[in-house]
Amino acid sequence: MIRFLLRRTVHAAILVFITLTATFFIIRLAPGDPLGRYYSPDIDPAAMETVRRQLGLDRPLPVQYAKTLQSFIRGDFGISIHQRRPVAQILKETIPRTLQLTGIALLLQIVLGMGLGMLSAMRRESSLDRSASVVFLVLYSLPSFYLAFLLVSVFALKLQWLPAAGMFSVHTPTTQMFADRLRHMILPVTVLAVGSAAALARYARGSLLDQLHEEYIRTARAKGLSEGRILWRHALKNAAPQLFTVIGLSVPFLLAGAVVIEKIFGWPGMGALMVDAIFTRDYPVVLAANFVAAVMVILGNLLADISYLWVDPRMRMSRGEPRAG
Amino acid sequence: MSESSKRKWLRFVPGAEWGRAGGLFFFLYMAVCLVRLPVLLDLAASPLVENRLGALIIMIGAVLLYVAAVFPALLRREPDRRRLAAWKGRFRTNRLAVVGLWFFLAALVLSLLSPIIAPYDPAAQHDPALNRYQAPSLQHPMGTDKFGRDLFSRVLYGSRVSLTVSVAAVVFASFLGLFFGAFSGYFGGWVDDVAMRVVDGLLAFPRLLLMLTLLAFFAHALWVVVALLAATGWMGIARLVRAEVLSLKKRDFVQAAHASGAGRLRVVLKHLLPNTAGPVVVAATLRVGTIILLESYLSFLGLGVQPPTPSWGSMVFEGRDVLLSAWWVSAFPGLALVLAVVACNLLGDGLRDAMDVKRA
Amino acid sequence: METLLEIKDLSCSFRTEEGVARVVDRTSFSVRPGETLGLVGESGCGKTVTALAIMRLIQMPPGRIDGGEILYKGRNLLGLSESDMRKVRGNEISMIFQEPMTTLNPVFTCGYQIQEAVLLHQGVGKKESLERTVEMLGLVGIPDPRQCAKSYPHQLSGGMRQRVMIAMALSCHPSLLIADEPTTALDVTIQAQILELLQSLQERFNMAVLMITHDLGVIAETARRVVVMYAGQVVEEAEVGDLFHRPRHPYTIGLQESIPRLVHRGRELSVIPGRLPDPFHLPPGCRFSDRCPHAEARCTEGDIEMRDGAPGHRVRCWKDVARTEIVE
Repeated sequence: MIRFLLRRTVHAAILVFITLTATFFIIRLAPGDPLGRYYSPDIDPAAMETVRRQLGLDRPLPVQYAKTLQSFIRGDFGISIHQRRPVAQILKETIPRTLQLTGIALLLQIVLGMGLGMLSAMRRESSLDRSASVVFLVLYSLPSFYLAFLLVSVFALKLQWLPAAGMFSVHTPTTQMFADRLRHMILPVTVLAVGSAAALARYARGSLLDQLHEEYIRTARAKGLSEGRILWRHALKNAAPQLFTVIGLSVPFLLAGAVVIEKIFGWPGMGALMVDAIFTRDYPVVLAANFVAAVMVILGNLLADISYLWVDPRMRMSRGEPRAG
Repeated sequence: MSESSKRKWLRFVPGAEWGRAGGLFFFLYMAVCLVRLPVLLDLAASPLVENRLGALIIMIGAVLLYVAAVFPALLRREPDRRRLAAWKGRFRTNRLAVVGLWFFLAALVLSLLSPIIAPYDPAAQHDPALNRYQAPSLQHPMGTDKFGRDLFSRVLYGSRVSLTVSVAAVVFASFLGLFFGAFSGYFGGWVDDVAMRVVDGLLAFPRLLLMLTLLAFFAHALWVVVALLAATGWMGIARLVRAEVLSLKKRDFVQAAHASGAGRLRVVLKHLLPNTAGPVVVAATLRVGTIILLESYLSFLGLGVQPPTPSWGSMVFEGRDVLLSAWWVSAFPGLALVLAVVACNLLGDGLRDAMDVKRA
Repeated sequence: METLLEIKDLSCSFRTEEGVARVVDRTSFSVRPGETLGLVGESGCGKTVTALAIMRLIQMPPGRIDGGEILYKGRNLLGLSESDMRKVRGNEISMIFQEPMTTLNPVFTCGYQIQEAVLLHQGVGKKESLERTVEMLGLVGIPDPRQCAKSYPHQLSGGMRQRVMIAMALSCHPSLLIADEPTTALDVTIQAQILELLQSLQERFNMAVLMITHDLGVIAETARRVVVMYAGQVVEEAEVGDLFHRPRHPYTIGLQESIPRLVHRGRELSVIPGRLPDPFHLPPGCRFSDRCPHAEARCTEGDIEMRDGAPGHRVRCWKDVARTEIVE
């Protein structure tokens, strides 16, 4: 079991390293120059050269790569070319904002997705289940920006119940700060959570129903257990590893969603930062943001793997090779 | 004798023996081509490469549709035919899946035919000052945008980008997946280990962020988008194929063939395609939906296909400032997007149930 | 004599893509308190479906109970509400299954799975239910019951798992145990142990057993009376001695002759030609007719009813093909 944990952690670390390396070379080998945007006829070439030297851009690429690795290990992500301040500082501001959105969305996704999925599985093949399946499918097929536009049109523009964008309103009395923050979060979090909750509900329903064909379910029924208990205890615990995997895999989807949604709602988080950095060709920021995103994704998978141990006794006791599927 | 030869001939008529939907769409397609023949000829003779390409695609589309509609007739082996018939029987009982199939075919046909059925030039700005933001009417069924362009024509053309890009990307990704999966599973050992680690690594990348980065720092031409979508989307299919090869390698008849000197590679290849056809088709269909979505996100963020080429994602984006006053600008392209993705997912789900493929 | 369970004209069918298959057709038999009734037949003959119908555990859809009655202590189980039925399952009627590998839930301890039934039906507290569990595990001959209660199914051998299943089934002292091929998946030596265990527990709890198997050897060892099923129908019902020495239905005769016996060494093993009829296209009249060496035109003309071949010996065949003696 400890060996399993250790191996997974080492795998995760290697993956983070590979991701960082790949991103570094992808953006540096691409045509274009990090300072390309800032050239103009009236800039003194000598001054430009100084900046280049300050940023370490005059060294050969492998040396720059080694330097970058070194500083990443120290937690130094370089200096943003566009914003002219340490990337670490920018990340420190933006990551919590993004985590606020994605964290709450993840929670909502799990609660709604699992709840509705179980409900559908309980009432399988009823008219409720059938219509829910179609609704899940549509929600899951809905591009989040389209949903965002729909909700903004109705709730922010037409009814004016909720703010259309931003993280807070200026001139809010301190006592209402919290409520104001919350009001600003409702739309983005909803948009972010809906799609992945629908996907999880579909998946949860399917994998629970798959379990119901297993023979131990028949044993549980033969004991006289109620259908609800069979689903909640016997089927759920067996389906849990797959569900953890799916939840772990939803981290990249939430992050991708955050990119679009932060842009639409003017939420100054990491996703918006990343899009801006890409358009302004802010190399250090792109590299660092990609790195942080990869770490989050890999962490999500790692947590999913580890949670297998918690539910499956066979994993806890064996050499720790995860079950297939 | 004459009876059987007549029957054989009938097989090659779309919809006569198999697949009324396929046959119907084929004839519909041909009918539209005939009615709009002058336009088609104009396109083919046009000095613009784009137009000639459009005409070429229409013709290729006809051939592809024909092949798809008579595909079962091409199957020689009895077990294959029987398997296909069983799939079809189960598929037809799922009404939603049939609706998905019809929508998907309709979208495909419309997108292929868009250059000859669109009422207006999607890029032409007809007197913007007069025609901008007109509400849906008989002349402009979906209204007009800021530049007075006909949205219906733009949505039609947009389907070309969304569907062609997605279908092409999925086809390439499937081939990549088939190749890597078969390779990895066949050689096994450390080759397999390395290949699977690569797959794990690629799966760990947040795909949209990776694509954003790549597209921003390289060019965003149409073929780059397709290549990137394919390059980041083959891993799931590779896993499916690998699992199938591994289980094939273990089976007795393969071992026996190997022992008797027949090439194992040949045996694996011979049984691989029929056995992976189901799972790969299901995975690919579901992926078309995902990739349509992904492409729309890219276009929405301005990193997909560049204007003035219309794409559903960028068209939704263009309506952001007029959500209330000119709702149609965002609403119709978005609706088209949702319908296309829902159709793919319904179709994929239906195929999965019909082919009895496990959830991947 | 009074009866514990009486099945009257039970019919079940399954709806599939190929059509409707009548897998149990107007089956009737009864079980008396404390006795062991053997239910024999090839796989696919409807014996398991009959058992699941008694427990009302047939998946519906695609399954369906088309008609008949299942009277348990005079009450028709088919008329009970689902919640009343749950009070019968595991409490008054229990069931054990063939494959002990997959019939226990892999993610719960054996103890928990037994305790669950006790807690549900016996109205006792957590502590007492645990005691009951350990006691039951001891009764089924598990050497270290306390340790076993804490183990997971994958840590036990097949025989041990089947003992856990039996402990679970008997934890609420049911009046009837349905054992569906309880020893088929086990090694021969373990088989005998499990059968012996079942018999001793049956006496201890004064419980009736419906022993479902395709193995006439198991029947000979455990049952008092035997019901033979073929293609969804009961074809013969008799005392076990009677059935073995004077079988009356051609199918039963064929079944017996296809068992290898040491005493008949040197003689060629006989095989029943053909196979079970397709449940979607059952032949008219006697369902065994196409495999029967004695078949005549009349056999396929109309339904053959059960008739008394001898006192306490019923058979679904109009001919008297009984071999008076099977040579020992």
